[in-house]
Amino acid sequence: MKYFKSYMDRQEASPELHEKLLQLEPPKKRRGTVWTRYGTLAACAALIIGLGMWRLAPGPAPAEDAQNACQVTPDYNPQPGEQDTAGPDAPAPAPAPDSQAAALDTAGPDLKSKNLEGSVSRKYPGDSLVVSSPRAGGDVGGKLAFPMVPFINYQDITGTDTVSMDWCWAKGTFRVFLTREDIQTIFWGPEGKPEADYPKNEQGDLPWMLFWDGYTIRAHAWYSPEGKLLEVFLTGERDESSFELRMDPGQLPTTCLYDPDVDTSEVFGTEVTGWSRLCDWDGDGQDDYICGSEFITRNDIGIRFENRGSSLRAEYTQGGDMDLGGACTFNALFVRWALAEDGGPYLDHLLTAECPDDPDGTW
Amino acid sequence: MLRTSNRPVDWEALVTQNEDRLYRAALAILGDPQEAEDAVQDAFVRFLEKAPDHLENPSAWLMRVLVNGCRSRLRLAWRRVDPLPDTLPAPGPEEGQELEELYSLPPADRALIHLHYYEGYSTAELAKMLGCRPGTVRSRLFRARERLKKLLEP
Repeated sequence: MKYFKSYMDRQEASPELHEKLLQLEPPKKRRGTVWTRYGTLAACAALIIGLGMWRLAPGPAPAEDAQNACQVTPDYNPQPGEQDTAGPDAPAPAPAPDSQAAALDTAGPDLKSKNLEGSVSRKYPGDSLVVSSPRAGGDVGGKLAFPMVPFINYQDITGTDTVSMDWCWAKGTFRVFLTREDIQTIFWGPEGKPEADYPKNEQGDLPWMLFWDGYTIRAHAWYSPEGKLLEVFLTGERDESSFELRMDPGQLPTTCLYDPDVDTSEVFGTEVTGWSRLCDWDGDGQDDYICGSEFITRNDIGIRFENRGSSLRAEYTQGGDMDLGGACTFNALFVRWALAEDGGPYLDHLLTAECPDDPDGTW
Repeated sequence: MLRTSNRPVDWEALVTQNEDRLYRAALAILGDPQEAEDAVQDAFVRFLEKAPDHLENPSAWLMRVLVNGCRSRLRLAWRRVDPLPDTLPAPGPEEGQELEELYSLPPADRALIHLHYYEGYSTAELAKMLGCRPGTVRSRLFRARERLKKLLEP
């Protein structure tokens, strides 16, 4: 370290900085007008009232060839390596544990390619749920509280070297499309949603503190040939924003984009790996903010949650970009819910499924 | 609570005692003298605005604010510091290799190395400063040391 020390010993703040620092004065305290003083509170209250309750509403009409939800889809026979075309909005299936090869490259965001190709031909066989705020603007007696947003170091991995995994699901793996009730149970648990705090108010069908208002939610689950749950894959889309949530019992979801240097943060005593990147997700020439997090919940569910933009604009760090801050806040709010003592996902109702009769109908 | 002033009586002493050490830490993390000076100025401004009354250790408070400010700058700038950034003041002939190895570390590890080995903060102090467990600091230092074996040789 001697050369590092000798180098640093020579480094000094400039005389100009010294003068600036000496001239610094405490900021003048001033009372704002009533509007500036209460404006923030009012905006926060309006936001909470608007978003205070949530409801899952039926999504687009089911596809003509759609089967009943929560059943296997023997007519769907994707091949290993094939791009997922499950629905106009559904991203590709998640990586599988039986990875075949790993190669160093500088791959860009894998999610981009997932969403761009082959996304028009197949309608989603499961339920589509639009999370809505049923009484926005009404007198709902919403809580005047804003959830604490944990700080997660969403380390920038834009342009960094990554390890890209080439993989496919094992033969015989099959998937089940989830119903609205399945999805709700993931978020509320077997007891269902709690009683509303106000009689005139609904609690909402998804925890409101997720801030998923307006997102169209779809989900399916992957099972081993023996019918054991491998992964629940959930997507949400709203305008230009979207997210993917992968949940694996007992382990972190296998990743196909790995940066070994990504830092971790602690949220409620749990280590959370956070990352962010900037890329042109949808090929419109505009860069999109991507935020991701990975962690294991208290009930041993491995989570990988990645969102592109968000419906929020927020200052996640002082003076930071509002769109980036919104994306980080959106991600951090999910992490908070997933790791809170009274929150977190529940998958016990999905742990097993029967293999379809026609083995050729599986992947 | 409104306060009339956060400015310590001996503001000049506070600046003089801390400006260089803060600047060096910011330079180690950010790799850019101009950004480092901005970060130092931000830390002092924040001191005037936010520092609690009767601070036991103003120097440690300033360093914590500085490190957090540097992290924000790195994150918000959507960039990484390249190995041996060309914005750094030129190193001497024998210093270049060590600096290059240090700047090849992730910023968080680089900050830890600087604060531990140059500034002399203990792992407990660093844990408090960075808001993580001492074990996390130790494991990060271990990881950084592994990558810096060459650099850390006496």
